[in-house]
Amino acid sequence: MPIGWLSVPRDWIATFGVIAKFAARVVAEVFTGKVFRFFGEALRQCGVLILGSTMVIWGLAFILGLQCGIEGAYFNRSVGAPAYAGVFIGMVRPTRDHALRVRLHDERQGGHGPRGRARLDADHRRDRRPRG
Amino acid sequence: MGISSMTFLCATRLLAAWLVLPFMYVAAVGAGFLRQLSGGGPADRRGLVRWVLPDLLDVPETLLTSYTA
Repeated sequence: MPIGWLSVPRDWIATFGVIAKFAARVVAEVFTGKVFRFFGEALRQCGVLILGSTMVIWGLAFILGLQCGIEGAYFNRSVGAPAYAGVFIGMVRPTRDHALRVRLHDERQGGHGPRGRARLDADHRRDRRPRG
Repeated sequence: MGISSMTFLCATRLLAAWLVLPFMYVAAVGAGFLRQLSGGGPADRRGLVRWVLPDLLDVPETLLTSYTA
């Protein structure tokens, strides 16, 4: 057989094909409802997952979040922008519509400041500098 | 006729994971929420409260997107 560009990865591609075929078959068994004939076994597997994997998954998620928080905080502090640490948290935290959306205050969005017109004119108060 | 044992095992375990993981997710988010409610206090030195999920609507929506995305 002549040596070509596909000589080395041929086996890899073939193995990937076998894996994909098997995965597709498994997913098809679930979506066609065939697996529901073995629902008792699925419930048993639920028990195995709850008792055996829950703590591992929670532990991994906890460590991942902790690691992102620590590294984000220290990295942003090292570049002089410690307030941006929340950006790193946003990478691992699920939210609606925007990964970086952060609710900073215990009360309503917008914090403890005044509502309405007074808030819009916040730059007129003497403790604020004019903006814009 | 019949089904291979490996396919049987993987399919039932996949179904089990799809059944279990939403509850696991809700329990984890709920634990974080209860921690915040139970006087955990501010999470950073500025005294700002950083919620795991900023809004209650985030829970069902992130649950749905985790299945569809």
